[in-house]
Amino acid sequence: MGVAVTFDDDNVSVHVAPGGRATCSLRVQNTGMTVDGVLLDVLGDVGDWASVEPGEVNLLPGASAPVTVVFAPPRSAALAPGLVPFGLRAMSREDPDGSQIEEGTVQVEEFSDLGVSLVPKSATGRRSARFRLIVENRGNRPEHLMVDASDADVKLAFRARPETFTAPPGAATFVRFTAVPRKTFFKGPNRSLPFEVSVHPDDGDPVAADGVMLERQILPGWLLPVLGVALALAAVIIALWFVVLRPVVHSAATAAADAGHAAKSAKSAAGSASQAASSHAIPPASPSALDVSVTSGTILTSSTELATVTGSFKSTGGGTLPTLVWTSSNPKVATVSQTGVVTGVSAGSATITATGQAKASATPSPTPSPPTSASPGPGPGPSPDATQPPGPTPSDTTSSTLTAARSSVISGSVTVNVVAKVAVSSTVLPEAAVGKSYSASLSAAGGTGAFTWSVSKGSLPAGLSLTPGTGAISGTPTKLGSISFTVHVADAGPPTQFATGVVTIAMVKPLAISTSALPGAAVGVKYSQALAAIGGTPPYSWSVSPGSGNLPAGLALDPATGAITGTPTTSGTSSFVVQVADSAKPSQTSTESLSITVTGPLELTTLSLPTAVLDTRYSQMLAGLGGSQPYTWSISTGSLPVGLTLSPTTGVISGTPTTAGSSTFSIGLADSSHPALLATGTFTITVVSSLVAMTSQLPSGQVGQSYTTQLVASGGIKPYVWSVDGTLPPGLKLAPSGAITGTPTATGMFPFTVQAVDSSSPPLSVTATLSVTVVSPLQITTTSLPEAVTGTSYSQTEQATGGTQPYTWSVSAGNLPLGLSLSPSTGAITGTALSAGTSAFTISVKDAGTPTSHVASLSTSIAVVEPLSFTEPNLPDAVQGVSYGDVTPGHLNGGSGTYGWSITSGALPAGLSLDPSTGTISGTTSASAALGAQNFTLTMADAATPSLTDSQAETITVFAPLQVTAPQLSATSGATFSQNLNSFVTGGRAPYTFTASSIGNLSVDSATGVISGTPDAPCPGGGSAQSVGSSIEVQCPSSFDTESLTVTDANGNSITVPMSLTLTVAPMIFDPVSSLPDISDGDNYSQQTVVNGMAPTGGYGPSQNDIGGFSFATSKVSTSGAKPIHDNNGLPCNQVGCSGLAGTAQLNIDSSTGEISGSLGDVIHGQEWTFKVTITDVDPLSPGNTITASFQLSITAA
Amino acid sequence: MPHPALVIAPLDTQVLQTAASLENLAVTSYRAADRLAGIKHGGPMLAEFVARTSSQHAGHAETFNAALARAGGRQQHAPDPRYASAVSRALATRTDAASIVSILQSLEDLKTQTYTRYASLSSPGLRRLFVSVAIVEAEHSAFLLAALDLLTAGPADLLTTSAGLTPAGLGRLPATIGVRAFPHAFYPTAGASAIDEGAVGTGASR
Repeated sequence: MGVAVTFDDDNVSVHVAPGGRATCSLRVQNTGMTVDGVLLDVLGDVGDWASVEPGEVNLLPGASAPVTVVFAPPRSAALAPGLVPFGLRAMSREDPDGSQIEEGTVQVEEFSDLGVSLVPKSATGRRSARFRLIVENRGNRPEHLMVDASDADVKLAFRARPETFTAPPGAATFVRFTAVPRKTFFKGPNRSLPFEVSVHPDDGDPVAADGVMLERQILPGWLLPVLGVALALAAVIIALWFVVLRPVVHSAATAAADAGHAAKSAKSAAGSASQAASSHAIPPASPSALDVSVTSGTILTSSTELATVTGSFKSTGGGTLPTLVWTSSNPKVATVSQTGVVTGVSAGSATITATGQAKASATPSPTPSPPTSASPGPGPGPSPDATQPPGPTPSDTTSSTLTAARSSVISGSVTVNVVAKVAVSSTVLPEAAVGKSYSASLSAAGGTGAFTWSVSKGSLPAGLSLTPGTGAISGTPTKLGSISFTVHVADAGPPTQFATGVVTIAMVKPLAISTSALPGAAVGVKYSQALAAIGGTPPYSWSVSPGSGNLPAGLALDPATGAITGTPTTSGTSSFVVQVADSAKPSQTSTESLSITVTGPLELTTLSLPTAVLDTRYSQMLAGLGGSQPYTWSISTGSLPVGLTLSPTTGVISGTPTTAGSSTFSIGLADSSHPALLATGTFTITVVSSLVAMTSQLPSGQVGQSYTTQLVASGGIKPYVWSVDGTLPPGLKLAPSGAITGTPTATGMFPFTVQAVDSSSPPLSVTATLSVTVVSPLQITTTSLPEAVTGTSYSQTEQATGGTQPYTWSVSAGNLPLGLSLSPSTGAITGTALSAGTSAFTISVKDAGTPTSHVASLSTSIAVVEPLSFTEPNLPDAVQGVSYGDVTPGHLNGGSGTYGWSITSGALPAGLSLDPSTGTISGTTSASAALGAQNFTLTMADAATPSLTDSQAETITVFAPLQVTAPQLSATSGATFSQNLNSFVTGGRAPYTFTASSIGNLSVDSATGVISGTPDAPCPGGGSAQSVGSSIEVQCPSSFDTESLTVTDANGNSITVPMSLTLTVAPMIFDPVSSLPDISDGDNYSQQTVVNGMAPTGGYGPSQNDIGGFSFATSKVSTSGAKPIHDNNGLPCNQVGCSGLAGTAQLNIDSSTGEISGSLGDVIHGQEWTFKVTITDVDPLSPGNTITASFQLSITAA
Repeated sequence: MPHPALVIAPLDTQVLQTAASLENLAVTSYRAADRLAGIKHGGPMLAEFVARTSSQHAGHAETFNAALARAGGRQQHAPDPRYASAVSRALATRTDAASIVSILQSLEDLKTQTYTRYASLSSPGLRRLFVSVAIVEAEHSAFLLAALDLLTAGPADLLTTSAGLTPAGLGRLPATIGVRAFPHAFYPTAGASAIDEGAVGTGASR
């Protein structure tokens, strides 16, 4: 990629002269692979005067194109000669890095340009004149210069300081330059001495400038009278010389006709003299020099004076003057005869020259000999041809003595000033206008001009005075009339002379031009203006004073009417003097300097007026051209914006506009001419409010988020054009419309300056420094909200990222579930939902970005559900190895309606399982399942995420299988019996319920399983008594009973087993007394028990109603005695019977205690009563069951 | 009928278009002035100035259009419409040199003010261009002001003849000529053109 630049022909050095043009050729090649545009420019110090053509080339890959670098250095002293490097830069559009700069040099050559000017160009001086010679070196190289000067007549010498110097380029050097006359000029009118001063460079042509020295006489004016007197004395002396002391004068030539003829004659004479010198062996002595003199250098016209010649001879003996030829340099001023008589003709100066032929042998004397007077004598005779002087024409008119030339032609000359006779020439002075300033000059003819005037007779008109030195009569006459007076004029000479004259001045009414100024005219506009005069004697005659100027082109002055009319054709100011002459004799004239300024047509040159800004000072000057100033400005139609005014004199529209809007109006422009020229122009001023940038802050952007904002300005004129100075955040750009758009790609704070330019004329602009803060995008990261459960506290915090914290949360659409609220500051949704249902809403978060915050929204919903609940049936116990059956939870409620089940803690008994979809616990309890309570947590969860759960702690108790061992009980009748049947039960779940038929008068407590009671058993046959020692033991045979015993555990399982009871009756044992005491009458027979120990033991035992349970009874076995014996159931009674008082007639046995008691009263001794004591043990529970035992006793009466 | 949305060209494009159109106006005006007889009354120096300056303005227009091309803007080849008709009318009616010079000077002043103002508005890359051209226009304006002063207040021969080229002629220049030719210590911009007045189209590309 890139470009290559090469010089053609390897010629990289170019020579160019300033002001010239040179080129060099290069070739640009596209070395890249794509079509490329190459921009070319020239670098370096040559950049201002070098260019490349073309400035851009488009090249195919590998292609090349020629380009030309053109050097056109200005012809300027600032451009130093020498090598100037330059570079041709070829910039590739496609590959700027591949651009190339090819370097070369250009040789700027030298040039010389000198300018010389003399300031002033003319200067006046007596002995010298000073000038400034300005030497400008406009070339580009230093110049070593030498100043030289010359004059054609070689009358001047020159001094230059410095005479040589070096002028740097581009600089001006001032040289003091002085011109000095070679000869002293004592007296005479000023004379011009032209000269030329030149500057010679070392290399190049000289340049020259012309100058003039105006040489003035050296002698002051006062010297003339003195000299006049001195000359008069000298004339007297000379007259005496000629009359009394006249020396020898060889000749006095007759005046030649003119200088030319004289010169010709002199030449001829010189030739003749030369020939004579060669033909005569011993020529007479000739003078080596001639001295021509006159008595007075000044003579009056028409008067004569004799010129004399004195020769200077080498030998002391003197010699003979040669034949002389007299010539005058200016016969119109003075003529000279060949005898030397000079005659004044007219005023002026003339040089009178005497020329003669010296002898050939004459050797020039280094020093002149004493003068020898020589008469002009006739000599060989003058040459009749005055144009052929015998010698060269003298060139130095101020010299009166010349040394004889080797050519043997000698001459001498003298200057004669001819002065005319003085006479008062102004006898009638111009009329004087009374009351008007008057000035007239007396004039005199002749003389030397050094006049002194006076009034010798009469007097000047009243109000006028005479200036003696000038002859000016001036003043303001006060009276009419004609006044004559005699003036005397004295000429100081030489020669001194005077004249008088009568002068008359008529004082008349003054003629004056009353027109003092003329209005301006305009090109192309007809002009007519009449001049006016007053005073004098009409009619007047008008004219433009010759040489005073001209009327503007196109205008003419009518001599009769004084009207200046016509149509000017060109603009400009024409100054002239008009003169009016009246008809009086002499005519009175008056002049007036006037001017007419012709201007172009009156025009409004202002093209347009700029926009005004509300409440801002406005000042705009309207411009006009042409016509005659001053102008008058006005508003012809319409009106200016409120607050602005137009100055009628200056044309300035100024003020402070107070109302916005556009105002169109017409401006009228009138000039000051009469009639005035008019011009109009229509303008519009638009008043706008000041341009103000309204945007002071920009909203922050978010990376990756589309960003759009509009810069806003107000005021001015729309549209505005916006531009940025600085760097916008990456990804953003500013459109000219002020829209900042794009997608930021980097975070940070990016300051920059924007500028708005409106469409006003002139454009208004405003800048604002702004910044865009780019943050990461604001977004709500919470994607969904969990269910809420009625009656359950709900708290869920929305989360967001990006933007500028803090955030502000809100529900922008929809509603939260009743009972829930959103915290604006934290985004937390809290509360307790009151009712089930799904609430859809949009939640928004706004960041703290300024001035515009970002908002992110999330449309979401919260499902509010009832809380989960279920009812788990009482879990039955599990029995090892027994199918458990299905236990399914019921009353499922809440949540989403779709549930799952799990054991969240603990475990089911081995062998049981939980259906996760239904919650059913089923299976067969493993036979090896651990016994006891198996605690676990049954959890129901709905299908939502996160799911609601409801858990219940459950227990399944595992039991071994219910087993009952058939009880075989043994009990003793009458003895309290109690035995817990639980001991016969294993497995199952307590409590058990025992169910059994009564057995042996025992009953089973179903709840406790205690079989208890007092067994009751029959004693078949009343038992069989047997004596055991002294006791009787009654044995009853055992009885056996069997009943079913059903044990039902708490789980309802029951097992029935036979329950047998073996009943035994305790042997009734009693120890009967062996005998009873005898009874005697009256004896208190009491508490005689029949058995020892009061009561038998065993048997059925005492009953409730029968303590001891035994009952005693007696029965008669036999009686024995003397009389009948009465007995009471075998017990003794009185002998009379058993009647009587009870107790006293018989004995009785206490059936319960077996105590025999009573008393008898009449018993017969010896009687005996035998009786059987029967002891009966009645089964209190079953009276039918008795145990009986008997024995016999006897009582004997004592 | 709804108007299409206004497309605003970039600031650089707008000011370059206006500048180019002003230069086109200058070229048109100078060429028209060159053909007027009145300009001949101003002398050969003025005529030569008009001819030379016309070519310079053509160069300016070309330069501005080249910058426009680089900026991707539509080049302008027509005179500034705001002033074109007014200047054309004025030139058609003015016959004397001073009037014509006045019109040309108004144009130069307008452009100088405009470019001076634009230099402060445009992007840094264009400032040098506007300033450099503004300097040239100021030179033109100064010459024309001096010429106008000589034509109206004299001595006109310094312009209309070769007298002005001589040292003596220079010595006759009015003392106020400098003030007249260079009236501003700081060039005003109140008369600058609006940025969008020169565009004949809003195209963003050629």
